[in-house]
Amino acid sequence: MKGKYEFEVRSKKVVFRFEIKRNITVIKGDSASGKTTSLKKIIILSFHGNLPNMYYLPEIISCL
Amino acid sequence: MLKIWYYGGVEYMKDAPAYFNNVYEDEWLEDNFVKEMILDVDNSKVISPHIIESPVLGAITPRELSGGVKVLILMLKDDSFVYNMSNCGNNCAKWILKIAEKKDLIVYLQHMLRFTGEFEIMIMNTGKIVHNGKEYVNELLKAEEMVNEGKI
Repeated sequence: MKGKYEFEVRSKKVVFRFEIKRNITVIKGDSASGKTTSLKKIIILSFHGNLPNMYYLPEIISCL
Repeated sequence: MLKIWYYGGVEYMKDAPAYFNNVYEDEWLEDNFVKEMILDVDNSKVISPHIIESPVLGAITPRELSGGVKVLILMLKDDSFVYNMSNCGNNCAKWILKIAEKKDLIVYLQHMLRFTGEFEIMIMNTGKIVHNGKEYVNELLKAEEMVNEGKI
């Protein structure tokens, strides 16, 4: 994977903003910090084609 | 007491949050201890067994609770399985210890969940009881070595 990709996913009440630099990204944090919710929003957006800087959907290997 | 199997030695529920979605009982959400856990971990208020008020998601059902708090509720209410404590973030650690004060709680762990202060935890792989962070980490490392060497 070359370069880095910035993601911003937002709803009315919350914004998720992060940067991916590698082929495999591990998202970790406290329970209820938004990990699953942000991933779900990214997946939904990718199916609707609303990710202008994405060329492929990173493979989600596991979701603890 | 909390009893931890680290990285092996026991069969455990692989997808506890999904299991919770299919087995939770309304009366579980009426328990004040459960309401406290949901308020502390998810920052959400239980209005009724079917409605929980989240500051981020709005009105949600128990199915939309975080995976970590679902596992905590299962640990408290459903003794059918050994649950994977690695489904929980560090903010769940104190609640796991509180649940273990009420009953013997056997869990599976595959990373070093952070427990603070003084506590009593048995690392099942070695049989040793640990009382603080330093002992806990040292014993988990020994347990990991045992698993890697095929002793467990």
